[in-house]
Formats: sequence, C-alpha cells, structure tokens
Amino acid sequence: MKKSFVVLLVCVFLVSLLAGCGSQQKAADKPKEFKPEKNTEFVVPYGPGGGSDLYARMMAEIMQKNKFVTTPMVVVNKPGGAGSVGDVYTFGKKGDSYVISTYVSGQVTSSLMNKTPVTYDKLTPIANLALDEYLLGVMAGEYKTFDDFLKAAKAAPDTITIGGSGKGTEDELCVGLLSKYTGAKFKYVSFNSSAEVMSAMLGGHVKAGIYNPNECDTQIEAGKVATVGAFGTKRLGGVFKNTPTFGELGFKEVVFQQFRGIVGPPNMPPEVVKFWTDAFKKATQTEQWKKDYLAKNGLTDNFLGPEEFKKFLEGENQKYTAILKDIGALK
Amino acid sequence: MENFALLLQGFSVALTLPNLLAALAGALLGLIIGAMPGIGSLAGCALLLPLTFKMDPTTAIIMLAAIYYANMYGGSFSAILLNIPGDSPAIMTTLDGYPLTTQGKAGKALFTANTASFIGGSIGIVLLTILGPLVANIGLAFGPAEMVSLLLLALTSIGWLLGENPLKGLVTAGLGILLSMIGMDPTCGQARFSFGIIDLLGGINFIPLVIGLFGFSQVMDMLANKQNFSFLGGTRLTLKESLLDRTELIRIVPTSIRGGILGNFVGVLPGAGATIASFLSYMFNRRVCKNGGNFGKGMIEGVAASEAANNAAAAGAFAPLLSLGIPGSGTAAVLLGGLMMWGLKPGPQLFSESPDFVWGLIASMYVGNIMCIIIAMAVIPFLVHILRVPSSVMAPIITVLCIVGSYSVNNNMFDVGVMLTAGVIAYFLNLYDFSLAPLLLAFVLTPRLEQSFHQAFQISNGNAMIFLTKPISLALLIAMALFVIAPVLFKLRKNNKTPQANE
Amino acid sequence: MSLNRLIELTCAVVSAVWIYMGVFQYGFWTENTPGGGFVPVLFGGLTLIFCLALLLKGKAKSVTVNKNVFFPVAVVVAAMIFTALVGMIVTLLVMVFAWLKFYEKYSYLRAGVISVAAIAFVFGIFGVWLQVPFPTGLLGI
Repeated sequence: MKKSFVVLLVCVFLVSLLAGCGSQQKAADKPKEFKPEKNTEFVVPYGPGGGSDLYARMMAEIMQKNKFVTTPMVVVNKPGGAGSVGDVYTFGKKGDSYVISTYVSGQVTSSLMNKTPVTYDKLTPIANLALDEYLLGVMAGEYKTFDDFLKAAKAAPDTITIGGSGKGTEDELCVGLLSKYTGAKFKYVSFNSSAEVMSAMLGGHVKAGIYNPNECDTQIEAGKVATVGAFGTKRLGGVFKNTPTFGELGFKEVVFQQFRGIVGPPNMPPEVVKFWTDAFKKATQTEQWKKDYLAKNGLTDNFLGPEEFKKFLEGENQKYTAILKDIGALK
Repeated sequence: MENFALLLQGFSVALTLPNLLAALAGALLGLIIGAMPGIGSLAGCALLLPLTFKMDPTTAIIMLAAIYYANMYGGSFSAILLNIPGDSPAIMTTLDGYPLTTQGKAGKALFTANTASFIGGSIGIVLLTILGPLVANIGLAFGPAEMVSLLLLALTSIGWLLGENPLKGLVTAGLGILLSMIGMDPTCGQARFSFGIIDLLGGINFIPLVIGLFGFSQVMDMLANKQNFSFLGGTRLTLKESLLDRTELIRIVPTSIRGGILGNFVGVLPGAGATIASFLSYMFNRRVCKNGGNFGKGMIEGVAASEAANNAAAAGAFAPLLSLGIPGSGTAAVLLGGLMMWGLKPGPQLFSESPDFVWGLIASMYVGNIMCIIIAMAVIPFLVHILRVPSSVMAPIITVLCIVGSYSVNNNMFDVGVMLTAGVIAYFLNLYDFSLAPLLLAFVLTPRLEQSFHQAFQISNGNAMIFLTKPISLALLIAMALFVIAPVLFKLRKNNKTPQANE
Repeated sequence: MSLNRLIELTCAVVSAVWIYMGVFQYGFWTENTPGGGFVPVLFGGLTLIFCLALLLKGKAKSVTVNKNVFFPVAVVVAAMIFTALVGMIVTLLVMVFAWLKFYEKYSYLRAGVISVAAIAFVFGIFGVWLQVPFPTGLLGI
C-alpha cells in the first residue's frame, strides 16, 4: 500500500516535470501568462496626501473598478529620505511579482543627491504614465512678462528670489536651468511644500515660485498670481493658455517636466512586467484617468512601455546629473 | 452682519440629517484614531478619504473635518490614561495628564481635557467665522524672518521648563537639538549625521521617539517599581469624583481661553501646526498662571493649556485653507486634495463661488464640536475602566501598542528600533533627573527654526539685519528679551548668590 | 563610574562629533549663507559646555538599577527578530501570551484569553480598519 503510493507520487512528479518542460518550450515563442492571485503591494515612497500618493490611489481605484486587476491593490506609504526609504524597500523585494512602486523624477534626483545604493537602473521599469508640468509664477501686476522679471534679475543679481519645494529637487532644477541659460542670477529658496512657497510669495517674502499647474490655478483665477513662463514643451490650456513656454521666449534649453512612472523590484519576471504594463496602459485610456487625474491636475499624457521607459530614465538621469553639477548641488 | 446671515444659512445645510450623521460618524472615528498611538490625523484622514468618495462633497468634507478635530480630543485619552500621546499635539497633555492619573484623578484630567478642547475649539471656530480672511492674511505676513524670531522666542522659553536642575535641562534640550539635526538638511539638501543608514536619511521620526520616551520607558518603570503603579487595578473611579467642581472650572477657563486664542493664531501660520501651538500655549500659561511653577506635577491647568491650543489650532488651519486655498497643516493638505477630487477648487474665490459649501462647513464645525464633546464625555466613564487593569497585564499590552503604533507611522520596522532606543535612553535620563520635556520641545522647534533661518539668509543675501528691519520680527525679538531672557538672567544671578541652596 | 557620569560623557562625545562633522563635512558658513553645519556647531558647542559643566560641577549620583527593566527591552528585541521570521501578528500574540504565562505566572487560560483579546483588538483597528500593512515575515503569515 505504502510502496504503491510512493511509486504513484514519483510518477506524478515525473509527469509534471515533463509537462513543465513542455510548457517551457512553448514559452520560448509565446511568453507565459501572468495573472495576480493575491494582493499586490503598491508602494508609494512618500507620505499620504502628497502628489505620488494621490497618483497611486487614483490608479489603484481605476484598476480595481474596471477589473484590470481582479485582486486587491494595497497602497502602502513608505515615506522617508526623499523617496529613498521606499526605493530601498522595493529593491529588497527582488524577484517578487506582487510589489510595484510609483517612480517619479524626485526619486532619481534624491538617489543622485544622497548617493543611495538604489539608483534608477537597479529597479525594473514597467511604464511611464504622465508628465507633470512646471510654471514660473509671480505676483500679478509685479511683473507683466518674463522679460520684466529677467530685467529685474539682471539689474540686481542674487536678490530676485524664487521659492520652490525642497533642495536638490525638480523645483531647484528648474531654477538652475533658468539661471544657466538666461544669464541672470536667480536665488533659489527652498520650502517644505508648495503651499508654503505660495504663502511666502503672497506675503511678499519671495519674488516668484515654481508651481505645478494645480498648485497655482485658483490663485490665477482670482487674479492674485500670474504665470510668466512654462517649463514644458508646448503651451498648456485653460488659465495657462497665455503663458508662453521658455522655448517660445527664446530659451530652448529651458525645458523640464516631471515624469510619473511605475517600477517593480529587481528581477521581476518578464511576464509580470508585461501584465502590469498592459494593465496600466488600459487604465491610462479610461475617461476617469484622463478627466479626473490628467485634466484636473494639468498633467500631460505620456505612456512609455518598459523598454522606452528604461531609455527615458537613462536620459533623465544624465540630464539631472548635469544640471545638479552645474548649480553646485552635486560635487 | 452679512457673515452672520450666511452662517445661519450654513446651519440649515449642516443640520440636515445626512450631514449630522456624517459629523457624528466623523467625530467617533476621529476619537478612535486620535486615541490610538502612531496613527495621527494626517494618516487617518488620508486613509478614510476614499470612504467619502461616494458622498455628496459637503457631507464628505463635514465628515473629514469632524475626524480632524475629533482627533485632537482623542489624542488626550491615551496621553492621560496610558502616558502615550495618541498624537503629537497631545504630548504636552501627558506632562500633567498622566501625573493626575497616578494621583487617582484620571477622570478629572479627562473632563478637563475635553472641556478645554471644547473651549479652544469654539474660540477657534468663532475666530474663523468672524476673522477668517483677516487672520489668514496676517498669517501671510509671517515670512522666514518672522518665523525665526517667533521660534527663537519659543525656544528660549524652554528656560521656564528647566525647574530644579537647570543644567541638566539644558543638556537634554541640547540633545534634542542635536538629534533633530539627523537626516536630510532641508536647505542644503545633504544628508547629515545619518552615518550611511538609509532609514536615517529622513531623520528620526517624531512619533516613535515620543512613544518610546513616554510609553516604553514607562513599561520599564512598571516592571522595576510595581509599587508605583498601584493606582492600576484598584477601585473604580466614580463619576462624581471625576466631574469638575466650580473652583476647578474657574481654574481652567481662563487658561483655556488664553490657550485657545494663542493656539488659533499659531494654527494659521504657514507650516506651524497644532503641536507647536500646544507647546507655546503650555509655556505661556505656565508663565502667567498663578501656580505655573507646579506645571508638570499634575495640574489641570497644564492639561487645559495644551488641549485648548491644539483644538484651536486645528480650527485655525482652516482659515488659510478656506480663504486663500493654502493648507495650514499636513492634514489640511489632505483635505485640500479631497476637495479637489470632488471638483471644488479651494482658492481665494471659494467664499464667493461656493458660499453654501464654505458656510455649511463652518456651521458644521460648530455642530461637530458639540458632537465631539458629547461623545467624548459619554465615553469617559467607560474609558476609566482601563485603569482597573492591573499593571501586570497593562505592561505587555502597552508594549504591543508601542510596537504597533511606532510601526504604523511609516510602515517601517526601523521605527520600532527608534522607539526601543528612545525608551531605554529616556528611562535612564529620568532615573538621573534629566527632564525630557526640553528634549522634545527642542526636537520639534529646531528643524523649523533652522530652515527659516537659512531661508531668511538666502532672501536677504546674507544680511542679518533682516531680523531687525522687519517690524514683526523686531517686536518678537524685543518680547523675547523682555519676557524670557531677562527673568532667566535675573534668576541665575540670584542662584549664584546662594549656590548652597541648590541640590 | 556612576551611570550619570556616563550619560554626561556620552552627551559630550555626541556634541563633539556633531561639531567636528559640522565644521569639516557640512560647512559652517558658505558664501553669504549659513552652511549645513551652522546649527549643529552652534548648539553642539553649547551642549558640550553644559555637559562639561555638569561633569565638573554636578554630583555623581548612584542609583541601583533594578534588573527587571531589561526584561521588556529583551522582549522587544526578540519581537523584532521574530517579526522578520514569522510576521508581526503571530509574534505579538506569542509575546503577550508568554509574558503573561511565564513572567507574570498567569494560568494558561487567562494568559490565552487576554493575549488573544488584546491582539484581536489592536489588529482589528490597525490592520483591518486602518489597513496598516503589517510585516508578514519569511513564512508569509
């Protein structure tokens, strides 16, 4: 009785092994299908309520509602070290198919600034979803155009202050680009959040600020703030339609957009990457994403698959390194 | 007068059944989140935000706002009963609240906390109604230079907290400052004193630090000196003993009013928040109260000062949010995110474009505040039952709360380690009469001070005169010289004359 | 050496390290603005002075430390290690049970009931309601 059971077991084992080989041979021409069978951790390396948090929670909701993913996606905040704590966490989940993370420009700059071990190339790129825009805002009436602002800065170097959130962040890169290519010397002042930058500007403590579209649109509608230049490649709509890009103003090199992408841990199996890329692609085509996220927050749609995203990240990394070195933030 | 008519109209929105229920539910949820160590109002609101998506925007924001200020009520529960501040604004509440508990007056402390919260909250809401936009604009006048002077004033007021052993207090204050320097430097962008540890890049987290300093060091004490915890597991407190009598009410009302006004103002300032508000109110009241010197030994005035201020600050944070579209605190930022998801655009025009919504929300704060105090008072008789649990059972359960609370702040095991280390250090500091309050105060204030200091220098291009040429800043510095430094110098001189009197 | 001397000495060493790193690594003053080392050096200096004053002036105090205080410390260290292996829920359940059973000498029944009730309460609120993702450990529980 016992013996026959063992024999049976061995047979079953051998058969399954053979079947395994068979399916693997098939896999060569057509990759294995992957479908999540349990909860997926959706890591946000920043605190609740921030830009990345909003982005992840919105995405998770769309994915679940439209059944692009049938198992729950649990948004997990791992804030700290300007994104590096979350990156290290994701990095530690090598080969795990059930962990994905948001990845934005700030994580690239922070890994450069802090020389953390987890750089962009250590994680598995899945997709880029959108680009966030940056604008230079001033008090309405104080400066009419960017030219006025530039003249003031040239007349009194180092006194025209521009506020932004954080040090060595996207906001400072924007100011760095401005100083480098316009020849004026702007003074960057770092705050904790964009809300604090706005407060400081409205209170007259700094002359200008770097804002995302959704951080300044209501102030523009109220006529308190005006944007004199946009860092994007083409003009934005709505209240920003009269704001020229810096390219139009003659500063072609002054272009900066924040990317918002998704990455996985190192060695994520290719079929898992494919599953997530497809799911996110479908999600970015929904009305809810276009209307409630992109349009409302003033973002530009920009979907990139794993390969393109990887190349894109390489380019961005080089670009950030160059600017950070230029402004002396990176030695 | 126009405001008043609009407010009445607002009440007609707030007093509809769904909105009342939303305020009730929010108050209840907020109390629980507030009482649980670790998770604060910020994370609580962010986590519960999705729950409100299916509601009408006004109902949803009423519920979230109720969660927010009910948190301030809830934070005092665990602070008073377990010596673990449920939320960072409740830290100052523990300083007097827990000693009251050890004296068998937990009920009184809880009623004081709730009464003061109610008074502070009401002051905050009334000021918001009458002066909202005005106060918000005053807040804007506080730029980096003004913040430096204000924070210097606050920091030097640590002198009042030093008590019997000034030198030891100064050492712990210094230690607090040095520890707060760990992590990313906000103005130079480099990681400082992190010694290559990734988890230290973001600095030492405040909540695990506080949980360790208060909660875990107390567990250690429980095991070492069981006899000191005989108030646990003893007879039950009767409601009659717990209610405040007339003289006690008279003691806490002026304190609460002072705390409320001060707290409301600090709440309006960009990036200051409820924690700093309760600190300042505690220090200020300690100075002006008749028995201020006994603060920290179980004075109901101490509890009132802290609780009134943090509730008023929570209301104050709404002023810039509603009238300028700029959130005055992290939690207000989450609420802002919520508003935008419902298609509302908070900004300078919110008052004129969506008066229903704004006044409905303000009116609901009146309703919610009353709801909070009713619920909070109603649960006190049940809460004090916690004290009937003997210390032998209490110790492992508090340990669990310390671990879970620290972990849940950032979902990071490293914070449990921070909690443990802080607890051990605090235990030994306490043993040798080093007081911990200066450490916490310094830890909270210095990073903010340093950042504003750097900003002021960047703005003035290295000219230190910026602190003297700005009128508000100058006035604060003069106040500092008059109220803080002069008395301390005076006292030191007196002490020098009679050195034997010490120790 | 009495322990309070050790505390004072440690604080002095910490401030000295902070001053050193502030001056040589982060910079006290750069161009027109204070450098990253400005505040650490300033307050490190003050703290160092206070510590030295205590070391010179203050009296050494000897307090006998009750050995029991190290029990919860050891328990938490053990809990952190076990959390990495078997996850936080199981660890804390076992921790409370063992504490009550073997340290406080409660009966199996009482220790069991109390520990299960306490953990159910805590995880009900934090885990289920507030959705805190607790570490599951290597076994994935």
